[in-house]
Amino acid sequence: MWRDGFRAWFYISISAALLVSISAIDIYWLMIEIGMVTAILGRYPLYDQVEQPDLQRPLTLFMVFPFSIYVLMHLIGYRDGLFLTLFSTLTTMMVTLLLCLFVILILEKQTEFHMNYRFILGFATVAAISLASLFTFLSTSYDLINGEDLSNADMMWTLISVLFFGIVSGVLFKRDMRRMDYIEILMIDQQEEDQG
Amino acid sequence: MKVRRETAGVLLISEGLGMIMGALALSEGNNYPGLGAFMGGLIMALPFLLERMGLIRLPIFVQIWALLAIGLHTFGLVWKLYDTTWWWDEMTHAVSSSLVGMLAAIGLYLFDMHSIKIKVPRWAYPIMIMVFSIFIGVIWEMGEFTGDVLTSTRMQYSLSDTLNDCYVDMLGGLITSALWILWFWRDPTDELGTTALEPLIGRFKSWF
Repeated sequence: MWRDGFRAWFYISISAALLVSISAIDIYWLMIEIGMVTAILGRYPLYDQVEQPDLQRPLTLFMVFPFSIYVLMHLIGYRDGLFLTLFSTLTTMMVTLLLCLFVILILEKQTEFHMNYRFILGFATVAAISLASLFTFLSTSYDLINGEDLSNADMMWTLISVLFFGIVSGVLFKRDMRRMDYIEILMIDQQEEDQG
Repeated sequence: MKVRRETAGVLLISEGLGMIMGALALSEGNNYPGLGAFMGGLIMALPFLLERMGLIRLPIFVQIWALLAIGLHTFGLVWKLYDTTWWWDEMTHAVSSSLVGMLAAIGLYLFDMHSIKIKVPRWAYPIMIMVFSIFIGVIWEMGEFTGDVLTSTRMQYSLSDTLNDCYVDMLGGLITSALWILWFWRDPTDELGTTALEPLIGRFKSWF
């Protein structure tokens, strides 16, 4: 029952988040969601085993939960408020970290790139912060071009929250990364290899 | 451990320049550029000390690159070029961020060569250099912002100036990536391959 429920929640949250970001033209979230969907369709690491007990906590906490929060915030028409802004940045960084982890795990699985779990998580955290920062630069530049009145301090506080919550997300994921049998996940099935 | 003559030469030049610029700035009552110059001199002593301790023999071109980055920054502070020459800030950001990208690439290369837990294929270097360049650029801007908020150093002029710096940092990363692809990973003089010295390699093997 729970397994079916989890799988349903997993797919509904992605679909709903996709609809929201398309309707709101939210390029950053759209990129994250398309990355996730690509991974699901490509049956890349983790996604083909969503019910596996070790994967349920990270997938719930770092993907289904942030996607649900994102949809919920859109539905209630959230825009302002310090607490909600910080909470939104935390969930955005959690899902960004997961996307970066997937990209690195895919590279590990498909190429000769190799790192142990500490380095994978460390590099994914740095990559998530860099990716979110890059989008902050781009969106701020876009707003400036459109004549919006923005201050330097606003952007700097956004970057500081991206850095802080990026590190928090990395620390939160550490326990799961350590417990996760990622070598097993990364192993290419012999049958799969023969078919390839 | 014996230090190469080139390393000693870079040390002498950088310490000399640092002391001259620092003394000049302090004599005119400019404490911040003066302290910056002395700090630069301290940083430039690191390659010599690391080589003397037998840990890292940093390639000479990287030492000159570091001398250029720190020298241009200090020169700009002492002669107030950051306030009077619009492209000075962009130039120093490009030189510094490309140096940071280079140091990150050398670090990765050392792990790749001496650790069994990390293997980085050559095509992955440019991606990782770019990721680190953006990350370090953000950390640098945060440092400037913190300085402005806490001690009113006025290092960040405006939002567009900060954005320009961030984009130039990325450009610096891109330059290092291109240089790495075109030349460094071939390591024609084997300078990169011999950067880590035996005591450090031993520690690498026990730690990683």
